Amino acid sequence: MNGVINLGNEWLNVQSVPQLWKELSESADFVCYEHLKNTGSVYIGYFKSLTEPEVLQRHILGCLSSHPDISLEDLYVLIPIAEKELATKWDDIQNKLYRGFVAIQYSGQSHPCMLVNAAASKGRSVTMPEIEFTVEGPKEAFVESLDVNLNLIRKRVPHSDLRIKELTVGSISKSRVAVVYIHGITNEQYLNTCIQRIEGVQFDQITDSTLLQQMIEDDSNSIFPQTIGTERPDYVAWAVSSGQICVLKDGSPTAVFAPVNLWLFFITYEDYYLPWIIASMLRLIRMFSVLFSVYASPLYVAVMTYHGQGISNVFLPTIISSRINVPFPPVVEVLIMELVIELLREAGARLPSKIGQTIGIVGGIVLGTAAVEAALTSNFLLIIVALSALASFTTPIFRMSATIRMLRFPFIFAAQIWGLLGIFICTFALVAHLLRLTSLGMPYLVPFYPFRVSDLYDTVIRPPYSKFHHRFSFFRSSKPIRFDKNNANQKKDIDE
Amino acid sequence: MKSTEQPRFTISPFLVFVFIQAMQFGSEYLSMSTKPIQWAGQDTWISVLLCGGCFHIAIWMIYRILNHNGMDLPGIHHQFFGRWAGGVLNFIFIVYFLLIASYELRFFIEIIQVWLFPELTTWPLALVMLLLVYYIVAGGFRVIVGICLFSLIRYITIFALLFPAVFFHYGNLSPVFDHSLNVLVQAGKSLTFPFGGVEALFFCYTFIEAPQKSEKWAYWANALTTVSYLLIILFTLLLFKPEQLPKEIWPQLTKYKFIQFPFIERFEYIGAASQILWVIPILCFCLWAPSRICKLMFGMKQLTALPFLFVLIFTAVCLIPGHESIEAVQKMLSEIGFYLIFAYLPFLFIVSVIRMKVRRVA
Repeated sequence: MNGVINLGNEWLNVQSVPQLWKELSESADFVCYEHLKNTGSVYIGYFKSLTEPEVLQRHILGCLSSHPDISLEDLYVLIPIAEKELATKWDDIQNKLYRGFVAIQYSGQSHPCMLVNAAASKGRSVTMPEIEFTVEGPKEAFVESLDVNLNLIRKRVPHSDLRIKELTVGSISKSRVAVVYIHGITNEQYLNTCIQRIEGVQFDQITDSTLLQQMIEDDSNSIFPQTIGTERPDYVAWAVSSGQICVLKDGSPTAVFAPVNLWLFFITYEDYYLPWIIASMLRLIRMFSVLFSVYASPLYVAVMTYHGQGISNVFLPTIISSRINVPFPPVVEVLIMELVIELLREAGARLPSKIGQTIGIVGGIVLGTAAVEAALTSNFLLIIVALSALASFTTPIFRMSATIRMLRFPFIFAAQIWGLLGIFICTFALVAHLLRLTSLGMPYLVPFYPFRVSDLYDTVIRPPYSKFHHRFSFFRSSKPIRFDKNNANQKKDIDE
Repeated sequence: MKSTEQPRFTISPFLVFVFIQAMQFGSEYLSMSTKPIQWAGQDTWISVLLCGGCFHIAIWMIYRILNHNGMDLPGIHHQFFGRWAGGVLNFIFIVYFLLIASYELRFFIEIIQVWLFPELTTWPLALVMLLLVYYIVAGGFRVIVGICLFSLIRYITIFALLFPAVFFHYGNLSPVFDHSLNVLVQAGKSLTFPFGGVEALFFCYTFIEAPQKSEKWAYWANALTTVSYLLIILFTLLLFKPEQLPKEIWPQLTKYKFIQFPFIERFEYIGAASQILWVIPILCFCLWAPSRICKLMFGMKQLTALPFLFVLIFTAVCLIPGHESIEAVQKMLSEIGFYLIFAYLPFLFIVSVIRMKVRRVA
C-alpha cells in the first residue's frame, strides 16, 4: 500500500518523495541520496551548507549502518540527538530542512519523515560591545544567533515569568523574531500593540532588527527614534525588569525595546554602574552637550548676521578679526564647515581601517588649518563646529546621535531668515513635534509632559538605588513596586 | 465626575494651572501699566489686587455654571437659549477669539518690527507664525497645553528685574491710599483686559480629567497672574516718574536695556524675541477654540475649519496697519472683554442658578 504525504492541500504518493526532493536538488548544496537496505531504501536529504557533517556521519549514518534492518520508529528512538521529530506535512519538512535538519525518509510504506537537527552554528562568539562600551560592568554583547542571545538574557533573568514569544516575519527571510517580556510586570496593552505590529509587517526580506524597528514605529516620518536598540544583554535585563518589551531577531545583534521616552536616550547603561552623583553629573553634561550641539552653529549665524551689536566690546575685536578675510556671509561659512565635517564622518565610516587613521588625521588637522588659512572660514567657527560635532556623539544611542546631527540644519536656515526669532520659532516647532510623538502609545516627553512628579526621579538625575522603590508609572505595569520601602533602614540619631 | 472625552485626549487637573496662567498672562502685559497709573498713580497696586479678586469670583462663577451643567459653553448655550440664540452667542465667541488672536499676533509683530527688524513686512512673519500655530493645533488640545507648559520658561525673565533694582525709587510708592475708590475702580477697569483669559475654561472643561478637582488649580493660576502683574506694576511705579510714562509705549521692554552681562551687549534682542513665549499659547488656543465651536455647531471636522480661520486671522493681521489701529483694536477688545466677564458671566450664572432651582422644584 502506498503511503501518502500531505503536501499542503494535496496528497502525494510517497514513492514520489524523491520527486519532491528533486525540486530542492536544483540547489547545488542540497544532498539527497539513497541508502540501500535489505528491506528497501532510505532516502536522506539535507543542505550541505546548513548541516554539521560530524552529526550526520557519526550519529545518523552510524546508527543506520550498525542496525541495517531497523524500522523508522526504532531508529527514531535510537538516534542520540535531542531535537528530532516526525513530520508528515511538506511545509514543516521544508522549513526544517532550511533550518539545518536532516530528513530521513523510508520508502515503501506510509511512513512519516524523520527530521533530525544537525544544524551547524557558525558565527561570531560573544565579545565585547563595540558601540556601547563601558569601563565598568560586564562586557558581553549580543551576537547574530538568536539562541545565544536568549541564553545571555535568560542567564540574567532566571525568573519564571520571563516569557519569550516567537514569531516568524518576512516572506523571503522567514526570520525568527523573539519578543521578550516579564509577564505580570509588562502592561498588556503595550505588549499586544507590539505583537500586533510585528505580526502585521508585510515585507519580504528583514535583514536586521533595525528594519523591524522602523516598521513598528508609531511615526515613521519623524527623525526621532521611538525605540531604543542596544547590544548589551544587561541593559535588556534592566529594561524588561522595568516593564519594557524587548524584540530580538535571529541574525541581528541589536535588541530593540519599547516603549521609550526622550530622556532614556541620554542614559548610558554605565550610569547605573557608577555612584549616583557622578552618574547624574555625566547625564547633565550629556544633555548640555546635546543642546550645545544643536544650538551653537545657528546662534553663530544669527548673531553674526543680525545681532552683531549684541556681542560685547570685549569680544568683538577677536571675532571680527577672525572673520576679516572671509568673503562669505556667516551662513555660507557655517554650511561649508558643517558639510566638510559631515563629509569627513561619512568617508571615515567607509574607509578601510588601515587608511582610516591617516586620513582622519589629515582631514582633521590639515583641512582645518588649511581652511582657516585659505580664508574659507574663521578660527572661531572652526572651534564651534568641531565641538558641536563632537558633542553630538555624546548620546549613547547611535540613532539619536544621527538625529542630533541632522537637527541643526533647520535651525541654521531659520537663523539665517530671522535671526534669534527664527531660532525661537524653530524651537517651538521642535517642541510641538516632540509633544505629538508617541512610542507604542506612550507620550514621548513623559514625565515632563504629562507632568508626573513621582516619575521625575530617574530622568535627569539618577538618585541612589534606595529611592528606586517603584517602577516608572508611565510603563503602566501591573506591579509597580520594586521593593517595599518601609523595610528600608531606619534613620539613626547621632551617636545612637 | 469624569470628563466626556476619551481619556487619551484629556489633561490632568494640575495642568489647568499651567493652561489658565498661560491664557491670562499674554503679551499685553508690556503696555498694561500706563493707563492704570494715569488713573490711580501710586495706588495702582491696590487696583491690581482688586481686579485679581474680581477674577477670583469670576472663576468661581464659571466653575459653578460648568459643574452644574457638566458640559462646555456651546452645549450650555444650546441648552439654555435654544438652537438659534445659542448659535448666535457661539458665533460671537468665535469672532471674539479670532479678534484676540489677530490682536496678539499683530502686537507681537509690531514689537519685532520696532525692536529687532525695522524693515520687516507684516505678512511673512504672520504666515510663518500661523503655520507654526496650525501645526501645534493639529496635534490636539494636549499639545496646546504642552506648549503652555514649555512657555513657562518665560518666568526666567523675572531675573531681568534684578538689574534695574538699583535704580528703583522706593519713594514713588508713597503716599499710600491717596486716591479715591472711584479712581481705583477706574484703574481696575482698565486692567480687565490683561487679566482676561479665564473664559478659556468654558471651552476646555470637557477635556479635563476630573473637572471638579481642577478648580483649586485655576485659583492658583489667577493668584500667580495677580502676583506677576503686581510685580510689573511695582516695577513700573518704582522706575518711572508718572510724567515719563505717557512717553513709554512698552515700559516692560525697557527693563532689558538695564541688563549687563560681560559677553552680551544688547540684551533686548533676546528679550524682544522671547515675547514669542507669551504669544504662542494664546494664539494656539484662540485658533483651537473657534474650530471646536464650529465642530460642535456645524458638525464639520476641526481640521476642515482650521484653514478658513487661518486665512481670516491672516487677512485681519495684514489689514491692521500701524500702531494707532492696534491701540484701537485693543480698546475694542478691552470693552468686549469687560462686558463679557462682568455682565454676561453673572447673567449666565443667574440663569444657571434659576434653572437648577426650577429643576429641583419640578
